Amino acid sequence: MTLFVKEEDFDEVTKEGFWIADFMTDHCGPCKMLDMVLSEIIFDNPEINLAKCDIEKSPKYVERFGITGTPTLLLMLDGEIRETLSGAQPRETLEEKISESMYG
Amino acid sequence: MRTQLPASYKIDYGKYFDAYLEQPDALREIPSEAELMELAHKAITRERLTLLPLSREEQAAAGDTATIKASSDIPRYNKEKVTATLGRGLYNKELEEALIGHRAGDTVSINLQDQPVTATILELRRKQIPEPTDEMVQELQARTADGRPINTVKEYEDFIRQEKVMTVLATINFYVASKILEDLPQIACDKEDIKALGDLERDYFIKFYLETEKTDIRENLPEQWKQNGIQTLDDFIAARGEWYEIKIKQCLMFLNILDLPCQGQTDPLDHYEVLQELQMRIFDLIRAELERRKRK
Repeated sequence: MTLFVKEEDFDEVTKEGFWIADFMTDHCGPCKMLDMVLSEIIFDNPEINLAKCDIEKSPKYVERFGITGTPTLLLMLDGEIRETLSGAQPRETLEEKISESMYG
Repeated sequence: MRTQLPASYKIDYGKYFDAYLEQPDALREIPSEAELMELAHKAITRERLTLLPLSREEQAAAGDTATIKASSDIPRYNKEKVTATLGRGLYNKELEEALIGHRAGDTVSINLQDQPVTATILELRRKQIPEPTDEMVQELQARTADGRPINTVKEYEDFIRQEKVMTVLATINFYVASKILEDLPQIACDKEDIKALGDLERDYFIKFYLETEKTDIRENLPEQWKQNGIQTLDDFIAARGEWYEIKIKQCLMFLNILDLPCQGQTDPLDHYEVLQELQMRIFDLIRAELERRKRK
């Protein structure tokens, strides 16, 4: 499942299951590259959920999670942050981190 | 252009290309057309994907989503309820593959890390993938790199093709060109060449902002430039001197690799886009090199 999530809904949305929170903006090139990789992962592994968090539309995210650049990913299991990743990542690296965070 | 590389200097492009391919995370192939189409369709339909539960009679196949109860002395494989896509390997490829062909309610036992692991299938679900439509593409509100909206499946396929292929070519070019530049003989860039490149860029930006923003930047600088302390167009051009030197070296490097003379249409002082045009020719060379190595 992929959802565009505002800061006020974030906790409720991500409280259950495995979520990748993708902090991005519309104008960021690396965000678009990463989005393609995430698309593939989400499609191939539907048990993984994606929360797209636009930090321009919901600036409170920046302070709350200390976002210093886009894209930034949080890997979350049942509402708990298991991993933070900065910058575009290759699929292999992402899957390795997801595997550790989801099942480790 | 006055600045030149030593006459006898010849870049061994193949050597640098091989060095790149020896990197463990090197990109070695341009995705095939089928892979590109699959990627585009996944991106378009990902939000419409549904999972349909399988009956107790239906067997699990690769790609199905299984919820299992796992028992083992290894904590990772000792869980009351865990969900994984079979065959993807995010949980454990060996265990996932052992579950393929079984039904909900079945129990499978294997050894992992010399420890017995038992998994009981609680539920199986299968992906239902809709055919991508133009309407789905429009809902994505995607845009091309130059800001044009993408409205049809065909346009989205073209966009993905362009993005993915360019990513491979640009990544390889960045690595190879950086290494070649490091080894390039020391050359002093002629001041007249640097000035001429500044003049070309000045003309380019004036025209660009007149056409796109209807603004004459000789009188009204873009806000972002002002925020960076730029007061006049001359300030901007003067601050770009270092870039013009790099541009000269990059052009000479590409011309040397491509065995082209620095004259007329390929002289960076002829027009603003020469470096970009040479880079596209290098991308063609990279494609050909990848193909050649693949055939070998």
